[in-house]
Amino acid sequence: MDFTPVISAAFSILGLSPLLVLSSIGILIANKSGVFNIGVQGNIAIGTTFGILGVSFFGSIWAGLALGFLAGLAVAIVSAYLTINKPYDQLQIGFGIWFVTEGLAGFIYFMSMNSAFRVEETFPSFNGLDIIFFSTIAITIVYYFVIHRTKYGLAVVAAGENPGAADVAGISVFRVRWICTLVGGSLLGLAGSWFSIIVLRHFFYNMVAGYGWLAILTVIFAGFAALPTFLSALFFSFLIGMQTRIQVYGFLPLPREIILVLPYIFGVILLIISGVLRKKKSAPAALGHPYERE
Amino acid sequence: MQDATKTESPLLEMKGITKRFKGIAANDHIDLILRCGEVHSILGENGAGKTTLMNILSGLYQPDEGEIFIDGKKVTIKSPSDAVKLGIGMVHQHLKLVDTLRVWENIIIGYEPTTFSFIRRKEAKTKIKNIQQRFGLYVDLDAKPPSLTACDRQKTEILKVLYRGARILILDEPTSLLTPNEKEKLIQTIKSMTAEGICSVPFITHKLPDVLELSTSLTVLRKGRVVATLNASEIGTEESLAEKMVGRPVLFRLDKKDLTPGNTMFAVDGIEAFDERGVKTVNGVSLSINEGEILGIAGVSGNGQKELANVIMGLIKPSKGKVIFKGEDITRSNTHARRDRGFAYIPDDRMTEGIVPDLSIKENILIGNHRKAMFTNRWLINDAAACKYAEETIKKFNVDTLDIDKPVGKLSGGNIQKIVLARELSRDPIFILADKPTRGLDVGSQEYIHSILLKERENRKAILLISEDLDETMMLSDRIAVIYEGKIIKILPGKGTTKEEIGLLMAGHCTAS
Amino acid sequence: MASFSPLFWVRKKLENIHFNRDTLRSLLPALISVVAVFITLCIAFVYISISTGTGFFDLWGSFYYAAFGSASAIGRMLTKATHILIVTIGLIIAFKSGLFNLGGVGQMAVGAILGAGAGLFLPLPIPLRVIIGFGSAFLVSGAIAGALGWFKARFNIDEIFTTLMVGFVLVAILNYFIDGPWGQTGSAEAKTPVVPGSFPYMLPGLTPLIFLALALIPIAYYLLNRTPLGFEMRLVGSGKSVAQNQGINASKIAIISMIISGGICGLAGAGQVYGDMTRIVVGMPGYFGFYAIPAAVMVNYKPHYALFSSIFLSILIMGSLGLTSVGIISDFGEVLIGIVFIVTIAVNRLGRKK
Repeated sequence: MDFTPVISAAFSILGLSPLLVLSSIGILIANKSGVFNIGVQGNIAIGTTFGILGVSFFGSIWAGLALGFLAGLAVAIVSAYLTINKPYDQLQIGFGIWFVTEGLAGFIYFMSMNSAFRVEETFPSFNGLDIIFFSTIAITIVYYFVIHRTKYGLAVVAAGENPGAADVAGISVFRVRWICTLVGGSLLGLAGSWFSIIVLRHFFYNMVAGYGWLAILTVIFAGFAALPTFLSALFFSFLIGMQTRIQVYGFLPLPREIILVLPYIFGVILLIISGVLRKKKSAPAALGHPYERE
Repeated sequence: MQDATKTESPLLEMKGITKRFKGIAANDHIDLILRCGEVHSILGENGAGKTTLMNILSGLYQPDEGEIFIDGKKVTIKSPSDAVKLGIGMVHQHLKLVDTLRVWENIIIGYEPTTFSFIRRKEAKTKIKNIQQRFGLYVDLDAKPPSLTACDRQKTEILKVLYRGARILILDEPTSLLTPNEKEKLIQTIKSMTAEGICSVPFITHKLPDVLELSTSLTVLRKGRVVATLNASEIGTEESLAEKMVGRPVLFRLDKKDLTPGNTMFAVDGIEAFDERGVKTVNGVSLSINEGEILGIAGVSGNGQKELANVIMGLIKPSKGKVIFKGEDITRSNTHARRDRGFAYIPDDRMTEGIVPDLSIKENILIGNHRKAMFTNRWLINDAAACKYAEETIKKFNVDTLDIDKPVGKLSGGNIQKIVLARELSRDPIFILADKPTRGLDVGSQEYIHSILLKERENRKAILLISEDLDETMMLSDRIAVIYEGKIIKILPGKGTTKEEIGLLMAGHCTAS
Repeated sequence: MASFSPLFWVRKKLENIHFNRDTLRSLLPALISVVAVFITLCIAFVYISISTGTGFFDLWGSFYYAAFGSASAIGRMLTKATHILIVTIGLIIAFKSGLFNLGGVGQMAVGAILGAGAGLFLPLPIPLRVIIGFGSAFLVSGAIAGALGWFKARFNIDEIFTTLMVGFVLVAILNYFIDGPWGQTGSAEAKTPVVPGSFPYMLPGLTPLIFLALALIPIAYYLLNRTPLGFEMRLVGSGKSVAQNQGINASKIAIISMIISGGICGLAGAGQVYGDMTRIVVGMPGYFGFYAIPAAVMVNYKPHYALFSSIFLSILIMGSLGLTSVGIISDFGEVLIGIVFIVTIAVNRLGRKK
């Protein structure tokens, strides 16, 4: 039996994974230090906007990716200030940021671009696996080693678990959390811009619906650990991609609308499974709590 | 215990230290002198300013006024790192350990030996092991804090501080979580440390017996000011110290009448129960309590007391065993039913289990009564009745405020506990479970609560007292049950039993009776 | 005779709203939010007029006109406000019990499906269809929310996420219905036929739906603050351990509050069908379920102020919709709401010194 079409299909589905995987890793980095931003959906959305904008204004895909990265960084700066420097409720701020960034993503795009714009340039890839895909793997590996082997990793873990302990050890909890939030946010922006530029090649409203939420849930489901997050995100990407493919080939006749919300459906199932099976909460203990030195 | 020798310039001197929070002086022109080789205790009630002073010394706060000198040189300590550089190390009362990191990682955090920021594991562990040898503080370096005993976790904190080269070791309430046995070990460790060259050990506590045993000198703080600075020979008795702490003579032995206990009111038989992590913490407990009796459960926290309390109140179901009240098996009944039968519960954590800080005094007192006929008016709550009841109750229990609409969280610890008692006891219960009722309270409040419990005892109620404070237990209980690892090791009479006996049992030594 | 006039009852409901000392403190965030919105609009309008060439003041005109300009504009604005208001009340009830019901959108979708379904398909006299439509909307939405509450109580599965995700899925189900089985044949966009029993307009754009919303305010207030059940809900919300120590079954209370909360959001969905759109159209239920979150937070979860925050947010949305006449998509309203939300949080925190 000829496996080539199956294998090439598998590769191309795998090539779609960076959206979820990179987003999940970005969220993991921020969460590990104790910062929880529920508005990450907006980081990704902003990334999609500025990705296409970058390609259109500067004429190159790399520019678009860079701009998406920077857009994510900008949003991260705002949310970092509001959640780290100020003791506001992270959940509420997160929603506020979500509203603003999601609205802005559409607003800025349609203000700046007149008609439907398609990215013409091709991007080098190996059977559908491009450099972003490999970068994602590299980033995950780097993250793992930093967290487990370096003193910076120790500081991050402490900041997320017991910021008081980090503080008396001389670690600046603010600085650690800022860095993690900025890095995470930028990766989210990059994921978004990658998706709009390279996968979909144009912008349409609400294109990344649900992926931000699913990424948050993936990290929770994977217990805030590097390898499980990576693998889970990879796996869910794969499932979603496969379902879309199968739809095309007409195997499992789910209505179009349901396909669109597959990320959410997976999310709920994940949550329920992890809740029923797992008794202990493995989130960083200080997650979501702003740190104030008494 | 000898007098401190007066050598050259003192190791540490604090002059005129003042720190204000919102206009109130937590530290008011405090002077302190420490010399090499001393164990200097700082004594005071809650809120006297001990921890604030030590936080200043360890760099968490900056003083508004005053100066600090180390080895005769003036220094400013702007952050914990500055303090570490000066050789000051603080072992906090609330341990600052990261539960997901291993012991050795917790010890070196912030001061890791690194190559290009990668931690040099072997080097770190060797250095730690050397320190362990020197001071005899042995802990499993690869374990994670949740699996350690409180004693070992404290050792980890001490190692942390020693690793950073501390010469001044500040211990904040170090004995509150230890068995008498472990306490002895700690005291030995401190003595050997002072001999070894860890010069001076400020020791913050409000436990008078420990102070007497260990200190070479001490300072008494009251309301932010220094009330007395004493050398070993001047220290005197517990009573005189307590008087200095509080400002008035303190009754240490309460007026406890001799009563003959009545019938068995409440009993548990063969209770086994698991905690929320699935660990079996109660391993076969059988007790009975009679009318007009206080049964005290002595033991270090974490030996099953909390789960036992939960089983008794019906909050969790025991996996085995029975709960019997007035002869009836009530194991299956829930908390609500038990309360209807006359159970009262004073939980150990008043802020999260006893009161709701955001709700008003009136509402907190209403809790538990809110469905009763006298407070409801068809479907709605009768506000007027609730107000009246609240006003009567706070008067009866001496609560320091007249405003029943004030959020309870704003009251002092003592007043909050009085409200808990007020609510629970004004329903005229028959059985009272008091879990660490005076934890963290000042001596005055403690006195008051003890007197209330004794009064209830005189009223023929059955009282189960769980406490970590051995003195309190011994003072109040008619009988003392020692719990260890989920079992009642022995039940001793309240009179005539010595602290040593109880201490041994608390640590698990079984004596053949 | 006056007691039968609708205006009389409106006034009576308004009287039940209590004003006390922290009215002023609650007003401060609102005032600052208004200023923040004003500044944002100025900046945005400058940007827009530069890039599209539309006059700066024309933009203000469009905004104002869409929100206040005519009787029908005000009517429409108030109707959208009622959607937000109803969900806000539902959210407040859940919040007070310590639960975050973020599935307002989904519960509205369920309510819309049931409301429209009852109206379109039940072989019963129309008033009965309406009643069953609303009733089933409440029950089914409530059941879904209650189930998710049960998951939280039993397995500690965070209801924040489950309600959110399930919400999106329910909206997808609604979209499926209007695209498929219930879709009106021959129409360009997906929509159902007009649902019989839709409320008539009292004023242009305004139906009696607003009375339902206003009635919910005192109901919620009395439930939470004056009934034993409400007391227990607040206890479970602010001091769960204390409640349990008293013998209150926290799980039961949590589930009950989720049922009520979800049910009310379901009513909002049915209300949108009967009291606003008269059918299900693509784009329903919209993001009103989410806008309820800032609406609730902005008034510190007090039901008696919820009307004002709902109206405020509705103004922002409708005004931004007015900008579409110059080619700007309406997402701008969302941006404004987000900014208002963040500003409110910041100011609230400033006003409350711990």
